[in-house]
Amino acid sequence: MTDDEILRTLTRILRDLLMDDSITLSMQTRREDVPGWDSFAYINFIVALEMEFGVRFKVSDVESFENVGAIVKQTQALLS
Amino acid sequence: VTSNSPISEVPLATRTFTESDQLAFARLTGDSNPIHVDVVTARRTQAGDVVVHGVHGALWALDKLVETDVLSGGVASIAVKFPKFILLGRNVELRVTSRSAREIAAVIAIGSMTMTTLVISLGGTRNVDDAVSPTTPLPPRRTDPLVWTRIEDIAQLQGTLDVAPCVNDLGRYFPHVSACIGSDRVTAIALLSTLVGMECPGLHSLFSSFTVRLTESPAAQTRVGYRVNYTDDRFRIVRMAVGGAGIRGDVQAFLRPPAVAQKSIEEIAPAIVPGEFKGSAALIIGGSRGLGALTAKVIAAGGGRTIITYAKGQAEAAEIVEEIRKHAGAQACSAIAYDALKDPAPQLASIAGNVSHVYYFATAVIGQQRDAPFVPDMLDAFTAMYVTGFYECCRAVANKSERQITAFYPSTVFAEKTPLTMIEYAMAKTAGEMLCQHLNRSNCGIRAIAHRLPRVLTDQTATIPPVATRDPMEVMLPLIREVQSTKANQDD
Repeated sequence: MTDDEILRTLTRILRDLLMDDSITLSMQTRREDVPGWDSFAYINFIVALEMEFGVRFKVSDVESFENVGAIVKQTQALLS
Repeated sequence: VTSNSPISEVPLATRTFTESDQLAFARLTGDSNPIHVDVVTARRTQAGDVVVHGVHGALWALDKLVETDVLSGGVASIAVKFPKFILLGRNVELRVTSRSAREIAAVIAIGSMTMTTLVISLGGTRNVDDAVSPTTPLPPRRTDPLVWTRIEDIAQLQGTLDVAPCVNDLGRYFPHVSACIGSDRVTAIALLSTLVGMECPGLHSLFSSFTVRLTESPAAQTRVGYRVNYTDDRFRIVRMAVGGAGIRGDVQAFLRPPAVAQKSIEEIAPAIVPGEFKGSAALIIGGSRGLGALTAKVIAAGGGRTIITYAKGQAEAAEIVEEIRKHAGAQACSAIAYDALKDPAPQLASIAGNVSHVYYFATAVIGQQRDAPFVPDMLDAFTAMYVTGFYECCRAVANKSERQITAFYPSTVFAEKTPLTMIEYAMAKTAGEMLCQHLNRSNCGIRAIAHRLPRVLTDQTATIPPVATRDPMEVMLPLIREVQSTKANQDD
């Protein structure tokens, strides 16, 4: 799976969560760039992502992701 | 299905939930979790104030959708998420965001903030077996929620809720949606609030979302069964399957961290040199909990006299006073009511003798909901609390005192690295630091000491997911010693 494919899936998950089809994530997107992507929405996003890809992050990873790109890279690492 | 669109311009309905609304829904459903009905307890939760029952908001929205004929056909399923707390007294709007022959999407919003989302799939009910058989004995209607603190303790929970006793009242309370999907199903949905708030996860719960499909239940079935089918101890998530009384689906909630208890004076005392604070009299604004309560215990353990103030937590303040007096004597602590936004002089008039030190731990809810990058009203409120309130308090104490007083001003590391959602808080705290410098130059009888505190474990930092925090005692003891070392202005 490519980074772009993961990114598109993450965009879909967040759109569904926040009910906002105008959201488009990039590798550089940070949580604070997306209105409504607060700590609870972030957890729900991570859990939905884990279910989608069948992966499980460490809490320390979840706390330290600086942007969407870091989430994509870690997802990629867990998938490989 | 049409695509989701930005929130529509015109609200379908508006409402401001009041305290009497809360009590009515709590009475009807039995969900009297204190986060919904007790302002003193609710202020120590992640919400910081009393929260509208999420299911109450959702059923109100469904009732309005039916009343206005937006929803008129059969309902197949209802999916609801609660991304933000709705606090009492806030005017909310119901907006339809998309509508097609198969689905209606709506939100409950405050300005541009989405508080609740609803997706209603249209179609008929289904004949399905209940995923959860409500066979366990019915528990008595609880007056107090069950208390769980460890996620592993609820991983196997299951039980049953009784729809029958409240089906008529809830049917009348939500007449339109009851006419549409049946009062038994409305009641079953309403009792999901009771399930989360009173049973599982109970006292320390936050309702996150639910999805229910409408089913054809046997006519006599008036119970909803639940069973925990997933937990995640990393994020303290609990998911349950629910079924019965015409619904079948899933519920997700968080087991939130309980209110933070600071160390007891017995635990603190070994770290304090006996008598090291003797002769001082410290007024501790906001001393009924958190860092204020800890400071009072430290000073009292060192032989100082303390006067703690409370805004709402009278009972909590009384407990702190009792604890300190038991350890340090009847003169070691007293408590007074104090509102940092009101004239301090009359509020402090009852304090006998000189006050040598002021510790200003008055606080507002810091991580407030926002719908803009900068909210001027929020800055005004923080400035009133953290700048003007501090100054007026110090001035009132200094005016009563025969000698210079020393005041401690707790600033924040967020003044250096400010989260995007805390700009107004950081601005007000930075202004408070400048005020301290100004007071020290002004020779006005107030020596002010400001320190930028790191994140320490308090009610406001006990978040989901957990964020690294430091031990409050480790942070505060050196600072208290620095502030208290100003011996010149103490009583002999």
